[in-house]
Amino acid sequence: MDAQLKRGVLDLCVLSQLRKRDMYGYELTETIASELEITAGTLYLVLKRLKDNAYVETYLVESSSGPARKYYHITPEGLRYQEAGKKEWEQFVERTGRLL
Amino acid sequence: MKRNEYIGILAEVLADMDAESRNEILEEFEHHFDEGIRSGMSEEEISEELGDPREAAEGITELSGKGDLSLKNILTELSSVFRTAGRNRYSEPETICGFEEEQCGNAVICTENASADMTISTGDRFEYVFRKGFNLFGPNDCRLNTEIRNDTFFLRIADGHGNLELTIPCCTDHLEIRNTSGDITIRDINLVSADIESSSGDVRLEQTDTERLRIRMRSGDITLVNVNALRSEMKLSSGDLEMNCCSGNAEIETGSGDIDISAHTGERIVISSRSGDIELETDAPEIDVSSVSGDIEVETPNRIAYIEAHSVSGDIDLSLKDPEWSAEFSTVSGDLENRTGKPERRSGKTLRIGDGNVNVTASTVSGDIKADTY
Repeated sequence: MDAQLKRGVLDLCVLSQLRKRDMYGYELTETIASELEITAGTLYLVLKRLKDNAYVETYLVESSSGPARKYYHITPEGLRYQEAGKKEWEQFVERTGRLL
Repeated sequence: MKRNEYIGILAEVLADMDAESRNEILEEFEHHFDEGIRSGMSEEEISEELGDPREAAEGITELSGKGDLSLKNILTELSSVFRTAGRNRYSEPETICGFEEEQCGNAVICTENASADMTISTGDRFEYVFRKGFNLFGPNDCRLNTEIRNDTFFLRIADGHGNLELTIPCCTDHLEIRNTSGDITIRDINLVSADIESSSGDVRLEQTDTERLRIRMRSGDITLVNVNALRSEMKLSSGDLEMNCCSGNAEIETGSGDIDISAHTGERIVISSRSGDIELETDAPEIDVSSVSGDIEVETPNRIAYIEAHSVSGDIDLSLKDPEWSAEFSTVSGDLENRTGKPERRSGKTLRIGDGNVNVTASTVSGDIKADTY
């Protein structure tokens, strides 16, 4: 599929989830992969890129049942990016919806 | 795939990346295995969920590249992202086409900006059922165009995702398929030649006879059951190959996928693999198998003309029935073992078995080599 489009959709979905609350990698990939035709592996690379772009940051939380979990937190830049993306997406759906 | 193998392949694929980023990514995948195991999944199930490590890594470049947003086919593109839009949902069959007269010749199926699942079998004539896939808003714009030029029947699937069921008359000579993704199933057909290319999706052939068979795949598995091909040539990148009860001479090349061949008959078989394991059971007298890091197992009940088996770090295991052979095994750091009861001579890291002219040669750098009779 079109890489740019896929990238945009994935970024938006991941950031929108993180807007609700901080999540660790596994639960985030489970949530996204239950709706999108995408493998968990690809999502880790999306997360890595979002982190490189400073849209998300990470911190470790000790877990009683195993190794420490790395949580993802959306940054102020990430929030702005998510809001702009969501607006564009809604416009797109509304306009195409009128034409279909 | 086991956890260690998965992480190993991923590390190999990410080798060009700076060490810090690579470690960060590997660590996340390791965490994913930890969490999956904690929730009761097996390593294989988790690997499946994570997806092919090579494709995951390709996502890095794909997902970080720059490019213009193409509005063309935007809905189709979106449909491949959303599970609910359903890759496996199809519209009612909308095109059924048969030819009154019995047409013979060739069949060529190709996709343009489209992907399709296909099933091809033998019928009285060229006849097809085509269904459009669904996108977010309903059936997508996928189209099937057909054309007969000279003695060739062309089917062109364009712009979207669809499903094609095709029958071809038994006098068809040549079948050619060019697909991007989607599964291809071919059964009960008899051809002079078959040529299949697909970038992802699985290919399955059953009860098929052909003089020449050529399959090229990027990812996705190949399964052949009861396929009789005088000459076959198969090239896979990351998928597995399984052949059961097939005959004919075969040349096979794989990247990271495993190869499992059982009850094969023929004259000659040549296999090379990068990191997949090879299990070969054949009566072909001429056998040539090589792998970089995968293990090799060869079992042959027949007379041996020659066996060549080479690996860098994998183990080689030969199970031979023919009493008339002589072997030379060599390794740098592996172990060499002779369980055949035949006389042996050792000098350093070389093992000679039998007294005749050497027709079985096996070598490794670090893997073990073992010969057995049964």
